[in-house]
Amino acid sequence: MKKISEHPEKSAGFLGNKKSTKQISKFVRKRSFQTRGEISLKIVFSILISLVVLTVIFLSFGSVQEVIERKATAEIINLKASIETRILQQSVRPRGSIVNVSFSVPSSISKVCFFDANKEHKGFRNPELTSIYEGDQINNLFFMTDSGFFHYHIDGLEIQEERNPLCVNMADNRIELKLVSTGDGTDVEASEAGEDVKCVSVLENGNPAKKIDFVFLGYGFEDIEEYNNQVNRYINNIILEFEPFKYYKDKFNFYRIDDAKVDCKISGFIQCDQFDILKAASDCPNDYIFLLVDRSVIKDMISPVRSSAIGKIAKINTADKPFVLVHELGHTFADLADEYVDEGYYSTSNFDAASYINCDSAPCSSWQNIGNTSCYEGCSLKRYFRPTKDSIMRSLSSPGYGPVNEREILKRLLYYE
Amino acid sequence: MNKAICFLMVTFVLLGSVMAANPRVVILKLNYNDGNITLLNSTVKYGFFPDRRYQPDYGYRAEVISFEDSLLYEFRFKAPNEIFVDGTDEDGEISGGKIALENVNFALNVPYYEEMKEINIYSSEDEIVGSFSFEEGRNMLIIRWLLVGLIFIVTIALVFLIIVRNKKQANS
Repeated sequence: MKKISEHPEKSAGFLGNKKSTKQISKFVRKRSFQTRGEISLKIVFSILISLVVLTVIFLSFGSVQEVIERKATAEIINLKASIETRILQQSVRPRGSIVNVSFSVPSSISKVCFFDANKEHKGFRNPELTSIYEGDQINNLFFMTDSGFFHYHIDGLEIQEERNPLCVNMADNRIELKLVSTGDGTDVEASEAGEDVKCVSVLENGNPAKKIDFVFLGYGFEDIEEYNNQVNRYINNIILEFEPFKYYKDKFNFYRIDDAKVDCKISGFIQCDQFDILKAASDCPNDYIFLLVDRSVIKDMISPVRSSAIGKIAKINTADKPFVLVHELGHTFADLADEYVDEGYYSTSNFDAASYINCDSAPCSSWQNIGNTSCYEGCSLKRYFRPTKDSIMRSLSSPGYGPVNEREILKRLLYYE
Repeated sequence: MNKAICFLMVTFVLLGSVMAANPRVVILKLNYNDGNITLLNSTVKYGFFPDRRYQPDYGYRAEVISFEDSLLYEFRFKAPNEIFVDGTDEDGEISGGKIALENVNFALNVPYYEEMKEINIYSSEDEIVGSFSFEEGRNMLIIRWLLVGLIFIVTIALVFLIIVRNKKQANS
């Protein structure tokens, strides 16, 4: 009896003949090739997909790193701007005027150093700092980070000989300095221990009397660094990235208060004692106040809490989408109405569209002269109309306020320098 | 002796400068109840008040009046009982609205003046809805200036005594 291998047609189920044998062999070879081909193809696809996934991960990591670096750089630039503003302001005050100031310092900076080349000095102990200074001999402000020094020149900066150069360590994401007017400039020294400067300057662009002053308070934060990170995130990534605030960013000063003693009840929405809020906020220039309430995303999913705006105070749930702050700012800064429709809330609130620039009755004559507007049904209540199909006052995914709202914001921005 | 005189003069000048205007703010804790406003509490502290460069054309109005019945400061503000409440879902869709509370506590901050007698609040119809006296401020003002006067007199007297003593010593 022949073995099966000698009779492939039998194992293949064919009645044996030469032609069939060839066909079978061809079939088997073809199948083998196909199987090998399929396997090869699968392997190739797997490798390609892996490569794509790895590339995406790598690029994403790179993008995230870039965002982190940009954020860190923005905070460093803000610190430099704030120090420069304060020194210039102090320089024009009467000789001998003293002010204690506190500056918000990003976590990446461990030390801030000042140097006056026009005075006798002890020299830098840090060789890298020495090398940087000797390289250009212009810069007099140095920020020490893990990746090296950032260095800048600031006009009017003076240091007494016995303290020259002056290096101040960062603690709780801040440094505290004493600025003394010398008549020509400002002498800088570290604040004495016990000088409790409550107002921390995050970004100062000029005299608070001529700028729009935003102050941040925190509630529920256990970690000062997390609070500082949130404040910087809202300033650099949200407010100053959103038009028209982005274009007019020089009109703003930003401050934070670290240990605001505010009594709040968090249930459905954020209820706080306004008296406590104003008492705390008054330690800083305070045209508009943001109270950040620290909540985790998970906790907020179980028990959601709404952000809110009343008067000049916006209370922000940090677990909420971050652009909710811009929406609330629309209420506090420009007295804008909500452009979404919620009959449940609004039907009982005596809402009158006439009080708001961005809601109107048909045919929307309020904004008929403003380009890129129309008359869309729904503005707080269904019976009113809004100027654009979408805006941040309607949806947090919208990239702008829209022309009518921007015009109102601009009108108010122009009151400031 | 010269040093002592200089020290006393400098002390007096510093004291005077301290008692001169340092920015202070009055923070009022108020209750709004169906259109009427009452004062619950107030505090005076060193601090800042808002610029109020932009003010609404209508709404409530607050006036700070001096002992001579002159207007020291005024500003408008919107109804303190209206709160916008916004919540978002996963897709960024907002819901919520405006709540008008009949009875709510709120706060205002105004600049502090030593000569301030009272703060009056008017509705948008220009009817007075709240008035708060700061008469105790007048007494504090008087006490403050009496103290300044006393320190001045004491300083002059000390300087005079030092000069007289030194002259006597020189003569003897």
